[in-house]
Amino acid sequence: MTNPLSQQELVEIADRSVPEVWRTQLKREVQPSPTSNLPIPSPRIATVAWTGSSASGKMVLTISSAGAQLVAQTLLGDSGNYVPKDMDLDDVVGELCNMIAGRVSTELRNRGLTGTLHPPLPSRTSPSGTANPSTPTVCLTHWTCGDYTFTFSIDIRSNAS
Amino acid sequence: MNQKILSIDDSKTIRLLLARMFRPFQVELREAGNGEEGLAQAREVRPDLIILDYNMPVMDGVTMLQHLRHDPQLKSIPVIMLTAESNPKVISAVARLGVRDYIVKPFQEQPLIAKVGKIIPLHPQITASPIPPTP
Repeated sequence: MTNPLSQQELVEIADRSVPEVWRTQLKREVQPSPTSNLPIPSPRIATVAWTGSSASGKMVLTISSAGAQLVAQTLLGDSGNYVPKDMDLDDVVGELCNMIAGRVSTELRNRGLTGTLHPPLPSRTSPSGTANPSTPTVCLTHWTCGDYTFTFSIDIRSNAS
Repeated sequence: MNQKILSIDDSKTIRLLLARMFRPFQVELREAGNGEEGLAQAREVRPDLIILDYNMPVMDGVTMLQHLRHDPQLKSIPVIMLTAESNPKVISAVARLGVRDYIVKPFQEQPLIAKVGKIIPLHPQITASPIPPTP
């Protein structure tokens, strides 16, 4: 399978989409961080699939449990006595991934790639072929926000083999 | 009397966020996790406004909206879409189904509250004033 967009194009899309979601929804600034092969501890992973007529793929947000806790507190912190539960953290990460994927989908459409987003799927282990720097067609970006780091990857490939 | 808002979103995060946003107002917020549950809630509660996601399991927002508009008891309920989906085809589809507004996630809270306030009256919660000490 070929990649309809270059890795550089996907990185540029991620570079616009990720900070916009953090800035608008969490009122926090994020910074690109150096690429690291170190695994994210106790990862919370959300995957949003994107299917189009000419290309398909997925977008994956990976953040530590501690980072997800901080995100949940930022987002819902003054919700009375709300204390995020285990499943709630998966939902927070899933919803953020959904928002980023929505922005990415808009950028893909602007480049002639139309597709449909699917509801986010949570997991605790990396889906096969994503978030792996050794996979040549994947775009993996690293980010820092205050005390936590996270990654966001975009993997879009042509449907024709 | 409290205004009734029905929040239909598969994300508990969004439902909690909306609950927090409307807590300062005299609003009764009901929740549903997909379009099917949303329809059942709408029939039971008869909300004054529905805030509806598009991309949900079981029944998506457009399908739910089609059912809503074909139900004589529910068809006039105003709907605001709140979704990460910005596909013009989806926006056209829900526009034809008479949605009052379309907000793309990520979203800012104040503009959403302002849009809701244009559709239903949002009165601040009345906080109980302290009882003065008896002399």
